[in-house]
Amino acid sequence: MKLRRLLSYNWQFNLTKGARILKISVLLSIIMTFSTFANSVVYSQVEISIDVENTEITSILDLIESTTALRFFYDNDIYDFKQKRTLSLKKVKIEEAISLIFEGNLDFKLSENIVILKKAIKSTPVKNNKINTDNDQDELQKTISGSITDKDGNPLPGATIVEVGTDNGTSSDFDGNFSIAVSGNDSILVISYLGFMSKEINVNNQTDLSITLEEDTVGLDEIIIVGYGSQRKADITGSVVRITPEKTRNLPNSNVLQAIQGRVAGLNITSGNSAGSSPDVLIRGANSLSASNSPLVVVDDVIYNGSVSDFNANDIESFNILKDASSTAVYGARAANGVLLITTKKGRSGKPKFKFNSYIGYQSAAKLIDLMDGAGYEQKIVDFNAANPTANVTLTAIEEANKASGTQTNWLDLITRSGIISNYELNVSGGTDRTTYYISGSIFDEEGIVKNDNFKRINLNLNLNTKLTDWWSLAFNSSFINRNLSGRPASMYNAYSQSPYGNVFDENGPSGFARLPIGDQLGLNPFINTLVDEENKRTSLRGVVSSKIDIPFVKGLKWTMNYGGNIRNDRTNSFINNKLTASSMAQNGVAQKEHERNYDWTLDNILNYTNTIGEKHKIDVTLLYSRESREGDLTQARANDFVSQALGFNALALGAVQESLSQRDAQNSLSQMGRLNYVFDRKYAFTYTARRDGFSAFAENNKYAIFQAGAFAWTASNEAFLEDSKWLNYLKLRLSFGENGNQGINRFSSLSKINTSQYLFGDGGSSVSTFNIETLANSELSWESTASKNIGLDFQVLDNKISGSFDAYLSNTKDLLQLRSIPSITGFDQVLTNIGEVENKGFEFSINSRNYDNPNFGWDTNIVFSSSKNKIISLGGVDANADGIEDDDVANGWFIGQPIDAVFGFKTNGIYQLNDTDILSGFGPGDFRIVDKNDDGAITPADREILGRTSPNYIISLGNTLRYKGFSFYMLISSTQGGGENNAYIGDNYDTRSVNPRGFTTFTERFNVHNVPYWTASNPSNLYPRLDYVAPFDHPIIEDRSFVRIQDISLSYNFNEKVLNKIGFTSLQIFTSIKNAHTFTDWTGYNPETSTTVKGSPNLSSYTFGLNFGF
Amino acid sequence: MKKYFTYNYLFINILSITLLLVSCSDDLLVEKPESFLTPSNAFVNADGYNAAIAELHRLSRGLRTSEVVNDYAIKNFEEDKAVTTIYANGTDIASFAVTNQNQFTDYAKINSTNPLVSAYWKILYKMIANANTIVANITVSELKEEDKLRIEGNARFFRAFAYRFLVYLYGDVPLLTAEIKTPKFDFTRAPVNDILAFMKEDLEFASANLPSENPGDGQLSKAAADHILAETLISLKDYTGAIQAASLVIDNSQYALMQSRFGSSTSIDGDVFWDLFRINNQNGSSGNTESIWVWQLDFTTLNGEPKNRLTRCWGPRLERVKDSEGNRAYVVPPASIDTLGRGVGFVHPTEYLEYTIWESDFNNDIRNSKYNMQRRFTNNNPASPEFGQMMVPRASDLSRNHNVFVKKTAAREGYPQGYDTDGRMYTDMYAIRLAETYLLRAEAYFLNGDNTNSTADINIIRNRAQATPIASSLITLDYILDERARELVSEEPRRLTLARMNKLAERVRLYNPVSAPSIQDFHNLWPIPQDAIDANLEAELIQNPGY
Repeated sequence: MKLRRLLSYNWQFNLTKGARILKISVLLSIIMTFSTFANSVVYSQVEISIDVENTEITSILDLIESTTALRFFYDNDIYDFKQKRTLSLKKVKIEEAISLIFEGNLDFKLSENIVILKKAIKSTPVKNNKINTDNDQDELQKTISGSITDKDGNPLPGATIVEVGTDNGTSSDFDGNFSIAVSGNDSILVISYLGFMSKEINVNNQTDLSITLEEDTVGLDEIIIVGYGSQRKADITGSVVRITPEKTRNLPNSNVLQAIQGRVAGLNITSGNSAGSSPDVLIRGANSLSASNSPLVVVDDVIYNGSVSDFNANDIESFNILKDASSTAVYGARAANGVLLITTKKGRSGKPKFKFNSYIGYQSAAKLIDLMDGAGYEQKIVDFNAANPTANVTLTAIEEANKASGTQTNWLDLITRSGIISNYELNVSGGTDRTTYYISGSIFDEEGIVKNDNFKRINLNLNLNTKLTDWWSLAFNSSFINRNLSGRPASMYNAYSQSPYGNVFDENGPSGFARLPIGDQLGLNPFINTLVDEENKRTSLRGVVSSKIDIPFVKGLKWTMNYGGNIRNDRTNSFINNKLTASSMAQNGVAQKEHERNYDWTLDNILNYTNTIGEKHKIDVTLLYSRESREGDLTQARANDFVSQALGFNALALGAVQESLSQRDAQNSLSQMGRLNYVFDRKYAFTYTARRDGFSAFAENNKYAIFQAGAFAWTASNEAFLEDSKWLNYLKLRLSFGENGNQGINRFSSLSKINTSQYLFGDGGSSVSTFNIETLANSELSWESTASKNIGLDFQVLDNKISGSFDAYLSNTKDLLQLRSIPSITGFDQVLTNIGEVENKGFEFSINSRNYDNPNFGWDTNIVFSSSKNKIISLGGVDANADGIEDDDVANGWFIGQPIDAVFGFKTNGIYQLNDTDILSGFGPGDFRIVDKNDDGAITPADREILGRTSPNYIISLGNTLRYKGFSFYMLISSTQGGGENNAYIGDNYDTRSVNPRGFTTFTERFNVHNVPYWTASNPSNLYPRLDYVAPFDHPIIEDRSFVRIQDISLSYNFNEKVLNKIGFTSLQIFTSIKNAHTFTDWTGYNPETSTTVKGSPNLSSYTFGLNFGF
Repeated sequence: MKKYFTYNYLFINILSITLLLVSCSDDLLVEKPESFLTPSNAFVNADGYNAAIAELHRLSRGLRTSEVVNDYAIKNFEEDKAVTTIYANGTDIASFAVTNQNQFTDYAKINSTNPLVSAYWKILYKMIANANTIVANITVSELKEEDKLRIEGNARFFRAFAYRFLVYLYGDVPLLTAEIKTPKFDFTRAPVNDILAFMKEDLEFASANLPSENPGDGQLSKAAADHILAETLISLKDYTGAIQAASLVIDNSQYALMQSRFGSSTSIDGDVFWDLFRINNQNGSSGNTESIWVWQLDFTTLNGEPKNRLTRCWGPRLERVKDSEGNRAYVVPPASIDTLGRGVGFVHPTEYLEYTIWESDFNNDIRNSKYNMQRRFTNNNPASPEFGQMMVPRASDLSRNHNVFVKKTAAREGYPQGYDTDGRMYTDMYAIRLAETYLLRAEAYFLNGDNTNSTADINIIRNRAQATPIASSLITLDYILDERARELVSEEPRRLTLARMNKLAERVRLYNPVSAPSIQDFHNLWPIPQDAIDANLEAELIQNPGY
């Protein structure tokens, strides 16, 4: 491996006018990797023998690397490495060799086997990184010492410290400490480190510096995890994005995914709306109709099937998102919807570093639905009676009494609250040069906005890395997670519909609540839910053991074995006593105890070989054999008719009626994968990947499939004609194509299942079991495959101030796994089958700009954009009407040439008014006017049409970070444009008992409704129908759900480290933040993003204050 | 030595990978279901087939309790409305109480997207598919011949029973005679007569192979097959055959109309007709010789309690009736002990059912006694000044809150747990009762031109009811329908009977003023569900005319 290639770019940046400095930096992880190869010899004593004639210095260094364990690091600018030398050395030490090769002009530093070359400084104060107190005070007036750490306080060994305008420089030691003699108080130091943004320091009167470097998110030397290995960003051929949760650290991200929401092009994360809920994630839109569209989640190199909400955002080192077919091909059929690779934090050598993070805040509903107050409620009754002369609805006695006493209740206000959220986390990391550790623990506590909606999570993590021998290292990553979702929230549903004149309390009712606030059977008090004794606890234990062996007798060959296990236990117990609901009263108490256990394990064997042949050919081969197994057990016991209500679900035996259910299933996957990476002359990179997948849920003869992908990247900026460009720092063109499978279907999907129920014969007898054939077998069930092409461009311009990438893709998914509606005449409604073809194309870009970057003030801007469109190409080629065009599949809502999420149905055009003369049969004034598309004077199914699609046209977000001295301000604005969804606010309100239900029944007269100006003879609304409208046809009301949202705002202040160091702290930060500050939208429901309407729950806005410190 | 050790270790490791690579076994990916059955291991013995037959019993019970309606994705359609639409509402005997809703009240609102139309279609074809699977497997199974025949007889009975609903509700429908193992998209409608002929074959097989002695409560017997066969033969215009089939039941000495009081509630005032509908009085084991096939319900038995919704649907919503001071005139149990339960008044009887059909024998027909057709209700609210007095309904109460209560749908004893706040009870329900067999034979005799025998059969029913015998000159199909209403109200699927006789539109116009303005002749049949038409990609399922 030619490590120095990593540093051989011509990196330059202007600090002050005309000044140019060098940047030599070493990424810690590379050193660590190399340490693995190092033998415990003293490298300074390595003997070097070379015999060359008129050879370039670069080749001489290559020769040394190929014959010894020594590796060189240097910057091209410090010397003309193209010079030629003729040398004959026999068993000389490195010191002598360097001196001879560079004729004394270069100095070096040895860190294990790494030789860092640098310009020789006349007076060298850097020996052993200790200041030489006897040095020449004439030239160097002042000695400065300090330490360099990253944001988390981890030391950065090997960082470069250079005095601007001089050749004077040094680098930090293993603990990140350095000292340097500078010319005086006017000196400016530049601190740089690979993968981090450089920092300028005005020396002034300081002598002791504590410097924190910010990670450079656009650095080309970032190591990107690509699945079963990692690559330098510069060598990557596929569409891969690495992101760290750093910027959003100060936000109350109850879920790790929130930390990257709106920050990656093509990654769409929708926010949850209750305590502890998991958001939905889509990478590049939906491809599949019925199979899963969720991306594969991989944690610490091992596939993770648990909930992503399990993790604490602060424990995450980085996310790597694989988007195109080439990059995801290593995960084959598991990766049809992209891959989300999560790396947890690891320790770094050095003294223990403690870090404490905390925040506390509150959250509230971003928006609540406006309900009728007492006056509106009464008017509704008046209007209902007017429309239905026989109805004769009146207020109940309770309602009359409350009205008389002026008691009104806004139930929604009553059941919602400002929920407190808090998070406390402590981690410690450190280690020796052989063993490092990272240990963390956190408690996250969240109160949802609805009373009794609570979530508590405890995380414990241990990450341990150790070098057993010089060639064998072991890592152990583990976490324990306990989530507690116990307790049922108050019912939003019942709160909507409850009369404003209802009684909240009744001293004789359960726990003092009035069970039926107005005495109506269906109008249960929303607080009754909170009285249900419910326990919902989930624990997860995850462990990954990783063994890496550098096979000694084949250079560049490495064997990695990962074994990951994950066990999840979910307990869901509930007891509804015989005083709460109608059914629990009738059944005299209902209890359930459920235990679900899932156990997954993965065993990966990975062989990796890297070598550089000659000067310019770098190859990297990865071979994988992987086996994954998942099994699940569910045991559920239920009982009712409790002789005593005292004990509940822990004493099911007290119930007279017993019922039990058990379930057990397992699935297995077997995969082999090969990946070849070839880079020629730093300019051209090729990747070829092939993977064979086997999955148990497919039909007997279709268990295995092979998928292949290839990619090519051209780093144009390394071409001679661009290398000297003043403005273009980096330009890479990427092309990829390939095919992936989708196995996102449930176990046993190809089998015909029989479910059981019961019947009985005779009075007082017992039940007998019944068999019902639930699903149709599909002996052909096979893989869904997606062939896709991706073209991408990565660039960095204007001194790396602006960087970004553009990607466009086109994919075709074939043999879609579809849960297809079939004629129910067969006895089955649906069957899982492979059919059809869907095209998905999209465009996405992200641009990062460092608008200002100086020590006191910085401003970064980040724009992310993505747009994708899909359409159905084929549905299996049926043309029953023989018109030469393939038929649409109306039953499934699939139409050739239309998006898979097209909305099909009857279109409405306002409301029929009293004077209308064109009212069709079956309709009347105040009804929705369904469009008679074929103008035949009647509404029939032939009038249905495509009304739009639900997915957006594009998603864009804009992030800005401003930094002024210790202050840092971050704001993210995100927007989704286009797409519509049926809005129950004006459409389907059946379940909410509100105006204009589309169903066959309504309780409009018995319950409250939301406050809309519904149609009456005196209020001829053209938007809302009459109160008692019953639609003869199901018709959606599509509403645009475009929105612009101020999603994240955070302001933080970092205290001066120098001051902190004096009191023993390494960092101290306070911050305040707002999540979901405001949404601008025309959507009339709660949340346009998740299209929640009156049926769902509102979006959450949270406000927090936090404190982080390290010591 | 150290070096030797490490290389040795490495060797072992590499060996272990190699072994893993080699051990790539296909067995690993074979699926073995561990917690559910598949046809291959379910249908291996008589127990498996019996369980499949029991499921057909459960599904058929769902046609009246609607327990399975929810299983078949009936969107926005409550079970209450499902049952009442088949058994009463929108026919000549009743309409849905809330007139603004399209519970087959305004026929202009009935179209092929109607969820009820779709749900019944699905349940019925599910029964047919299950029966076809049983028949296909049993024929090749290794069971004893007698078990084979009995099981096939049961399955074919249910297949015919499902087609009976389909053919009368929808007219021509796809005819499935064999098991379907792969999806099919090219169904076409078979003529009604083909369906009827297929039903005839199935029922004849069932009649020959079902036990001639009533084998047990809730089980099928030969008589059940003969009864449905008689009805089918009437539709096939084979009146002689129908008379023969019905006679096989009537002449069987196991069956006779109940003539005197019996069973669980004899200590309470009532009459024999009332006794027929008390709890635990339906099965043969209770001494009831009139029942041929009974759908079973039982409190606190696993899945034995889908609950019958009769009180809920047929009981007037008395709790809304007020006294002169605006207090409730009726307090629902458990706050009060009353025999009336908690009616919700979904079925609003027409004047035809409340008065017209009783006019000739208003006081002597026991089916119109105060036990069986309650017209007066007592104020039971102790807080009301009119406590204990007869309720005086307001005009608006008459639409739903205060109407004639068909008491065979109510039984205080139907709540073994004391009371059910939902108004659901646990009384078994007749699927086939001997009285109907008489009325079927009367219909067949009449259509065969034999008024004398027709009259005789009708009068057997009337005699038991203590009604005046009818003169043979007065017998018409409409009279038979009137008699069926008197005898079988709430038991017979009235919509099916009227559709079978092509009388729905005609009699709705005569007797149901709510639906009369909107009903047209084509409404005699339901539309073919739109989802069935839409999913049938490779052939067109032609819609019934008018829809």
